[in-house]
Amino acid sequence: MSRTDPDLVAVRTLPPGLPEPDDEAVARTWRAVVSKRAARQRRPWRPRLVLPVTAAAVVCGLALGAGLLFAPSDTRVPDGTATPAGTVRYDGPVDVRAALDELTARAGTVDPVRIPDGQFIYVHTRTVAVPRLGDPAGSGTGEPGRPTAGMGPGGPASGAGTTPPPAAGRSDPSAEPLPTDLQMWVDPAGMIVLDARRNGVQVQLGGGETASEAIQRLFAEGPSLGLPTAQWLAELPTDPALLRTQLLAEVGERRGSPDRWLAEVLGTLLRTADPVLTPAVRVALYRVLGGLDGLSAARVTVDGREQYVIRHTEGVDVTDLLFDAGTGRSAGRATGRLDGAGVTGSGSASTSSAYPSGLRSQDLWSWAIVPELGRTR
Amino acid sequence: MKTHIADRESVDAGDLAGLFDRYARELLRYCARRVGDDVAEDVVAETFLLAYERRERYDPTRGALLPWLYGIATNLLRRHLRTELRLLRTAVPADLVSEGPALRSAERVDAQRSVARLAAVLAKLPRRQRDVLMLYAVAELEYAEIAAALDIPLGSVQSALHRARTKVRAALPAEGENR
Repeated sequence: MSRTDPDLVAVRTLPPGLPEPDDEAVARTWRAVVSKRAARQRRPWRPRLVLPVTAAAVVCGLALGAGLLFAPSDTRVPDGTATPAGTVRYDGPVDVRAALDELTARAGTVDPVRIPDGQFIYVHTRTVAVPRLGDPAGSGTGEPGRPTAGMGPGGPASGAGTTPPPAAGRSDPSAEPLPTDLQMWVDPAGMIVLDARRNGVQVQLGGGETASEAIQRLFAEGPSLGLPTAQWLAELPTDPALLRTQLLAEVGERRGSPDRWLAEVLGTLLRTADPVLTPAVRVALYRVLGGLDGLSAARVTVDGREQYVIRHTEGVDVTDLLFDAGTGRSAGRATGRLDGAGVTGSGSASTSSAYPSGLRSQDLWSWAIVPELGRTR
Repeated sequence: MKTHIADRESVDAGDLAGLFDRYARELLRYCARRVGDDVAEDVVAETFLLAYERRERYDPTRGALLPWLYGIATNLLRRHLRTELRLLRTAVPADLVSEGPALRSAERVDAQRSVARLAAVLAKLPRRQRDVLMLYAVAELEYAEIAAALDIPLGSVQSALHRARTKVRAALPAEGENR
């Protein structure tokens, strides 16, 4: 104590006999921080203005995967909110470099959305059938395609944070009729899924980690690829080589090639974090994608909007990322496996690895910034 | 300086755990002196949460992080004014004072009375004077840090502290005197 005047000492020692805070008091206080944080995130908030994610969507009032829920009158999710129909038309293969160049140029113009304190990212993922190969004019309209090995509804990562889980253990998608709807309410601090409903039924995501545990991990360890914050994302390297290195370092040692993991990580990250990406980081992420081996591209039309599918193929594993050609934002993804059953439509024994081979379904996503959990706009 | 850099990095990175490790104990000590252990833990937890949620508002050019945290805590303590005043009123149990010299030594009773007088003075201080005094005496902040914490002019800190200390000194027994 540097101040020893009697009056100050008297004030400082009042009430007399009060013990110094011990380790247990500090630990109790930390637990209070974590539980308050978790409770606060579940607290209903006063309705506020919905922030559109893209100006284009505001103008058109119609967008898919471009960052804003849109409203065809006949397609509504169970809570009554408008949602994309998810009609996918395959328009044929395109040059992957040209597609990536166009997307990267577009990416530099996509502004991040500022999310006010206490608000959430609502992520709506509609899983739809893919169009049949060899039928460029055909479409996936939500009816099941031929079942093949592939992805589970909701995509490969449905965690409290965004760390992609291993490929093993996914549900068998052929068991679920398409389309399916997965709604997630995500805390932008850590991209932690606080609430989720599949086809209107509340589900627990997170691979065993609760939202509360993820929050505690975020507090204890700070932001990371698995628990990103807008600021952490904004500070990622904008040099593609450095960014690739950092992403791989964050992923850690995993089975499979780095390129395969990067393709998966990018999809996982973009699903929740796309709205808050800065242009520089978005461009760098797209360039990291462009640097992967085994890429091909296709053009599809989803509910009237032109989109690119950038496919990464490694062996029999395919990872597709969808991007909206108009806005430059991500629009969905799919993963699958190429095998005999996965090559559909042509009736030949083709082993083509081009989109949509190997897929039964794909995720289409959209976002909104909402003032409370359960709200979709 | 190292601490300031670490603070800045922790704030930028949203490293609440790092900030908590560095400052929780000091804030607990300060808050417990004002509202007791139980409420103090709640106030300090709320302080760190608010600091985390409003970290973009922290301006390092206006001062170090700790005074900013003290400012948040002091604002939160205002919600617990009744608790603080009740704690001051009960700083010395009445029975100990009234039992008299037959049961207690005169010195002890005098000390208890002195504490009671001091607590009464603190309870009667205007809120701002009490805040300034507690930040100066318990948190040991400098004038400028108190000004930043409470978002008031430096001159207001000096005058509030002067007035508060004058009243406190008047309540304390002069050296060698038993009141």
